[in-house]
Amino acid sequence: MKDIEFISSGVLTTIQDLGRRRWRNMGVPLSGAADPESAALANALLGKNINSPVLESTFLGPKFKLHASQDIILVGAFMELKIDGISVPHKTVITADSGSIIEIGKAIHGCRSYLAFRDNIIGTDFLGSVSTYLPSKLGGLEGRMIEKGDFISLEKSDYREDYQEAIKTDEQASYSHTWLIRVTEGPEYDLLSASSKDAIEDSEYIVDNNSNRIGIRLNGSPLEIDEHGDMISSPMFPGTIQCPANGQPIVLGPDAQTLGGYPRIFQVSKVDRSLIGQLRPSDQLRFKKISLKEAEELWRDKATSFPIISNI
Amino acid sequence: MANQFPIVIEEISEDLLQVKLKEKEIDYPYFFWQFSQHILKSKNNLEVVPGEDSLVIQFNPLLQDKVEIKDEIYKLIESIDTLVNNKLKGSITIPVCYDDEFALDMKYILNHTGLSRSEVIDEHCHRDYEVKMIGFTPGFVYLGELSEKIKLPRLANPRPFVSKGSIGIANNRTGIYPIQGPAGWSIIGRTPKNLFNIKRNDPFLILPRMELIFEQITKSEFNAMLRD
Repeated sequence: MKDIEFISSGVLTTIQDLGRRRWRNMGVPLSGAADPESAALANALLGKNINSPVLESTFLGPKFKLHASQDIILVGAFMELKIDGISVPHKTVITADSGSIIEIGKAIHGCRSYLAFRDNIIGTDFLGSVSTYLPSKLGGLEGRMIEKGDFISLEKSDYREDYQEAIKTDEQASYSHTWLIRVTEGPEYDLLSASSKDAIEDSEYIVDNNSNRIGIRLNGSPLEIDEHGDMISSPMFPGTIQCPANGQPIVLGPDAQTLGGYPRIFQVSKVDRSLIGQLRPSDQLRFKKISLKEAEELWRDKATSFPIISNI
Repeated sequence: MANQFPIVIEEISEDLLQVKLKEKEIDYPYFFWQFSQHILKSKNNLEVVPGEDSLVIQFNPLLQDKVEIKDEIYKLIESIDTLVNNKLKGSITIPVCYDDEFALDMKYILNHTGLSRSEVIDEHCHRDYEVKMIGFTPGFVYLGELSEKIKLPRLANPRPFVSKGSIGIANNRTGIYPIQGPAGWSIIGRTPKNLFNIKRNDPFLILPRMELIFEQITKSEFNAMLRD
């Protein structure tokens, strides 16, 4: 059942769900949508399980032909969505007929969008997830990104017709090219010099071109860190901010390593963790340090007004 | 018996708990690996990542109570004693080519150790290693102890990419990068052997507590093995 036929691939389009759980002890990264809140919302608005596979587009989305009538929805970075050349809104379920040409345009702000289908995308399951992890060629479509000429098949899903009405979407972030990311102190925060600790909230960082789903490399005035490269490798998670001796922090993404040896100076708070997937090269970023208690409360408040994220 | 492994649990973010031993020096190098297996078997709703001197647990702060989780972890430590042991399980030989093409940091290693090329290779190659930990990327293994004579810190500027099979050194460890990806260790050689293969029933070729021996090969042997 070749339901989706790709006419163009976009820059980097992959199949993702919410990630591969409970294998990080073996070095297998979480993977999954880089902006899990947007992926979850796309599924939820279709009345589906939030962990259902979606298509993650990066910078510029794909163009494809549908060979079956299908309900679709696009959430995340604003990329123009066109059906047979006609622009249609985001965050809205749209029925597209068999034979329609669907095109996802260029992101103006933000980096990634998530396209969900009423029926389930069939991907390669590996250790309980179809998330694509390109470095090891896991999951997705043969472990790789979508290419022109590829086909994807769909299978029936159990969706609930009435589900989407219960969801409030106004808590969704709006994007620009400047970001304020809330963080808590990491276990090696105290390796930062006193002056770097003082300056951190005023420092502006630029997202490096060498950023991807593994990590967002930042450029700014270097942090002074008492780092001799001799730390014992320690557990890392998406949202951990590492600081090598060069003083330029790296924000770990969904495909990040599970262990690392550079000091963990911060952890991005859950309330802002999904934004990591929307950072793009040249964006400006600042950190705001908050307490653990504030981080807990902010996440609880967000989940109260946007309950589908409770399970992310 | 519980007191054999007194632990402390710290909250390192709103969803992460770090477990460390109160006594830094213990004679059980596989303690955190074995404890993580124990937690994963007992609790199906926690993510656990072991390191060599700590482990970190990720939980869902909205659906799980951190105080309860801490209590459970303190209870689990009481039932672990019999699982912790130092016995090695199995042995594997890994071929390595130390040619300049693969040993990206050989010059840096020579400059910083004052050794000759063949001395560096001898120090790295002719030694029995233990697999201390698995992690970083799927199938990456941490091997120790590396010779003091070629001990170097991590790179100040980690590389965004090294090739699959690259072999790095940092501090008292050497490790094998099973896939292409970022790397902060000095690269000393490359193996043609595939350490992580999802086509195998068990994709992980090497696990903690195994013995590992490197065997030097030439470039043409490397190429022949790649074709196999």
